[in-house]
Amino acid sequence: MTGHGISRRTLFGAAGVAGLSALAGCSGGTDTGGASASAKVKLPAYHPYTGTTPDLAGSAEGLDPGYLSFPSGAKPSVSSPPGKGGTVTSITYGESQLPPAEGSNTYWQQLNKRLGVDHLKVRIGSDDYPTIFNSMVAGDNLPDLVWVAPNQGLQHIAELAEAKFVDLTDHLSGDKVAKYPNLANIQEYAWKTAVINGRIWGVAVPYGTFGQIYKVNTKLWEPVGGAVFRDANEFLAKCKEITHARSNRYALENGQYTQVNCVHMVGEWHGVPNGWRESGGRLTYYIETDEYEEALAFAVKLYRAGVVYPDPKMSNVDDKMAQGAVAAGVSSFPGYIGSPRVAKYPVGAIVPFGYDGKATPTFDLGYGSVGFTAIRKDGNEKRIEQLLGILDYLSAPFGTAERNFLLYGTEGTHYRLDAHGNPTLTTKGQTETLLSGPLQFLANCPEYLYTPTDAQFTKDTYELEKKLLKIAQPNPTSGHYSDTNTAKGPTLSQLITDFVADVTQGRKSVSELKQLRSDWRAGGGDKIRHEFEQSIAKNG
Amino acid sequence: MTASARTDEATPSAATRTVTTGRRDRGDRRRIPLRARLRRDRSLLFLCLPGLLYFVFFYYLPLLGNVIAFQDYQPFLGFADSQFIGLTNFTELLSDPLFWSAVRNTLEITVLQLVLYFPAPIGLALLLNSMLGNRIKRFIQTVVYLPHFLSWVVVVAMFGQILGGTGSVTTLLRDHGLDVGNVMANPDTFKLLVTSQVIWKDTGWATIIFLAAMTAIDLDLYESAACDGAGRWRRMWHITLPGIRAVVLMLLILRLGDILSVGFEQMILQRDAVGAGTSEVIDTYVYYHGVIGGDWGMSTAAGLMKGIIGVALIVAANKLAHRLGEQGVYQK
Amino acid sequence: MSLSSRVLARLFRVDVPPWMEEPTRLGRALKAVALIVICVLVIYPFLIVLGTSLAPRQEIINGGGFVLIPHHPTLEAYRVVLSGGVVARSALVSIGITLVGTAASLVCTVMLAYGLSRPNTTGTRPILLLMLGTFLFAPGIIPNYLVVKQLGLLDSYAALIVPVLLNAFNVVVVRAFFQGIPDELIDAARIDGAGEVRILTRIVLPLSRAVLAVVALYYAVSYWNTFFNAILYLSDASKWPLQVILRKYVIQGDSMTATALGVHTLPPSQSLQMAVLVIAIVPIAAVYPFLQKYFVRGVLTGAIKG
Repeated sequence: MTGHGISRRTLFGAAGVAGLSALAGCSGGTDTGGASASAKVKLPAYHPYTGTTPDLAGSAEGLDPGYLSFPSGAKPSVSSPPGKGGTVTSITYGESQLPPAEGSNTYWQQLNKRLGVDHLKVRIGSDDYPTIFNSMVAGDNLPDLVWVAPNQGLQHIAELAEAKFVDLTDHLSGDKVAKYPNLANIQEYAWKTAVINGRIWGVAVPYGTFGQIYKVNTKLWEPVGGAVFRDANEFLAKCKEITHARSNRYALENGQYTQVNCVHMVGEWHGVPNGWRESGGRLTYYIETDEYEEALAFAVKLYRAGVVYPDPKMSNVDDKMAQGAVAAGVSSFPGYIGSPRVAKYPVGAIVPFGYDGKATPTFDLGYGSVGFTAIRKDGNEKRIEQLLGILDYLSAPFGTAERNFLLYGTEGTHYRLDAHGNPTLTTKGQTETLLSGPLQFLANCPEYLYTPTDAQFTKDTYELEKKLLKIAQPNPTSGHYSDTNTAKGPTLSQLITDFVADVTQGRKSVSELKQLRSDWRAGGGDKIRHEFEQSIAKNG
Repeated sequence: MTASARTDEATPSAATRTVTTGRRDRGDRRRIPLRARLRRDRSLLFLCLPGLLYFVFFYYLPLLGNVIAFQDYQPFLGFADSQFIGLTNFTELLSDPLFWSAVRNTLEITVLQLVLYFPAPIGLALLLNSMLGNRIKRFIQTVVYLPHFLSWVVVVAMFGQILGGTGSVTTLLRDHGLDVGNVMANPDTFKLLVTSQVIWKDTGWATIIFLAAMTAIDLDLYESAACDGAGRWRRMWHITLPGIRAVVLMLLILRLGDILSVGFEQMILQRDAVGAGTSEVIDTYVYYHGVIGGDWGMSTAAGLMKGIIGVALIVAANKLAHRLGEQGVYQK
Repeated sequence: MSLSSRVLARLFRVDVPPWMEEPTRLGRALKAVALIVICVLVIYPFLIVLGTSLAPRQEIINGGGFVLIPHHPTLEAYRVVLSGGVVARSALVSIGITLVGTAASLVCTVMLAYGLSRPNTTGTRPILLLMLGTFLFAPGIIPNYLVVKQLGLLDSYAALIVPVLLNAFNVVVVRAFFQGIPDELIDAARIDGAGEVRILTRIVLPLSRAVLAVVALYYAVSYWNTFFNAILYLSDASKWPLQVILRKYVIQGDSMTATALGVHTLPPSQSLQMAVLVIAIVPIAAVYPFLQKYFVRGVLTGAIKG
């Protein structure tokens, strides 16, 4: 019963999150009708960094290089500080504890020095990012470096870019990127997200290529022969065996988005396409396929069998898995890679298998990027090179002196090397280096595998990636663009999420999938399909 | 809170009338020219100035921005260059059956809240007011307002801990043979659940204003009533309740203006558990169908509609209040 | 009387005014039961919050997420939350904003409410309706941002106070209360030659302690809870108030954006989240009892009779 005005403001304020449709393309052009749309841009030439040799070699297809021990002899990859004084402002994304302010953060101050600037201002947004971003755009108040996330409700991105950002094609295309060796270390598929309408509008921010995976507590699966399955029925049987309602143990997790994630995993066993299936220039959306209907039906079986944790408000999966309450939960792949740091249980993964033992399973790849960082257009040409230099520094590969600093700070102050030569953060280091997380959205190096405490896990994950790559499929619309998808994508995605939640929990039946499909088509799905098909036809 | 209706003492002609008598009445408007009235009331109007400026700058000026509701607004184009699309945002909104389902849910919840939640703090305030022991009274007061400060995330999680599928009370009942299932995931009981959550969270806090109103009631009234033989229930009925009647009515009217806002975070948190069909209210609909896709036009249009309905309701309710002899929120 | 009954009598001292009947045994029993139930319903979850904040991670895992009474209490969660000085600094910011903001808001609210409370003042009705209109239509985020920017308030603490200076609801409440003050008092002062401002400060305000306390409390709480405006208007995180910093901790599992991006977020431990909650509530819990005396009977009487 207090001020209603304020509560309403909070409402509009809280409503800033974009639900990224799992099928959104990240870039590309709209039909501005110009001939430029058909011109294919020369992406920055890929020159992989050779300063360190990983113990487990990566590959151009997406296999991440692995390091079993901390690479010694960190060499610098940047010859001199890129900045020339002054203040550089930026806005990026961050989801956790905030680092101490610049004034009392030695790590931050050292970063300034290394970058050659007086101050690097980093504004950190999270769920409210789209709202802040749009407000800054409307108020003509953008900072120098702007992280542009894929599909955060930013419509008409091409026009927005042309209006507010610097066209970086002439700075980065082809061999021009050699001036910034760390940027040249970023693979082509990541750069695709920075291309709109045939021009390069920002520095790509690479991220893991692999999509979601079923993470398991291997100890809990041992009694039933491990988390390996010949077919879906065996999966169901083993789940049932593991589940003991009386002792509060269940095979599968529950919670927000878990239903749709579960169907995603089951879908991989059935060969459901990654977002879209492309054949002969025509696109079919994944919910329109028969495989999806089968996958959905099987997921319903799982839920009916009572192997799913009963509380839809379940949270803290890792704790539940450590406790033995849950045996398997869907995780993002980078999350999986990082899990030994937090998981208090032996971590493993389920490799997708054919649902009937014979069909070919698939594994959905991610985008390999979390967007791009644009440079604000302000007419100052000289500054562009400085800013690119700063982004170059921030993209330093793993094993270089710069990356070491970015991750761990200064030896002695922020971290110490243990007996095996692996760095451990001091208390001061733990708080001050919290800045590095948000920085990784401004610029980052390609994904790598390194677990300080567990070299075996690195090896196992490497082997896992190899297996997954064999059945991997990318999203055919990745690198293409659809205006309607930006506008309606998140809403349609929510439609599907709600539907799956209803079906798995018994409020709707699988046969109502027909209704979902027509709702999806009428709500924008057909338009999106058309726009993507056009983009593919034009840009290949 | 009664309007005074004294007649003026005999006044000299308007030209020589002293400006500082302070006694004003309705007839002034006819007798005294505007400028003189402004002069007379200048100190009062001066007092209003900061507040007025505030509302102009931070409400009415940005309110012009509601033009977004009639545009296909793009932030980088601004108001001037965004395309004007007339009532399209509104028609899109009103022609969506999902929107109407959200409206239905909203109305059902709001009625439940009016009936169950609105009286609760009044009752609690009466209970507290009738307490004689000061220490205990203050202790209870301090305790009951605390839940207001918990975030919905925590409140929903706690309810889940107790009433959820594996919750303590649920398990207790099940062990004794009474299987109520998962109350938190039951679409049929959702609206009651949601109302009880609000009651738990906000009743204590809401008593504050009622208690303040109760302290304003003249103690002598109680004393004379008691001397006339009225027992405690009659005293409550005839003194306490009428004493806060004006406050209650005012809050009720103001609440009506907000009638279509029944919760947001609370609904989102429980959406998965009971499904969108049950938990979608107007604000979440706008969020999932407008804000997420960056559809500023649509979300502004919805806000505009809510405001218009709120105005209509407040005007109607205020008129009703006048009929009942109360001042309401504003007078004629 | 025995010691224990004397203690009880002191604790539960009841001052029964001469005209009131003795409370009946049954009445008191029922009241007691009702109050005990209410208290339990409210306190129990708080004990859980407090207990979980002090519990080590293993106990939380064993307890399924919440712990009532930890066996091995630890201040680890508080240490983590308070490390780095970020929380401490933001607490100072919050305190500053709350004090300054509440004072400013109270002053402006009282001025406006009084100006609108005398009947038949010129322009009362239009101003009142103007104000009520704001209560119903919320301006959008972007238009507000533009106004704040134009006024040069971006990135300043003033951006957390000025845009939310007044709340129409509170003004209405105070105004209604002012209207209830008997005209005789005011007329008497006028006849003595007092101007409006004098009347306001010498007569009306002293009588309004209860409602002023209520409104001050409402404003203070809303300033203390400032969250979104800080994120929007202040790009420098070191200027952020407490709630923003604390909220960054309480993210259950993955946020929507993070999930959508496939980004790995470390869910904070339960004890961390609970510690955050305790830190957010404690200041209010500490301050409130001091305001309570305004909500207790007896403050007003005497002034009118005299």
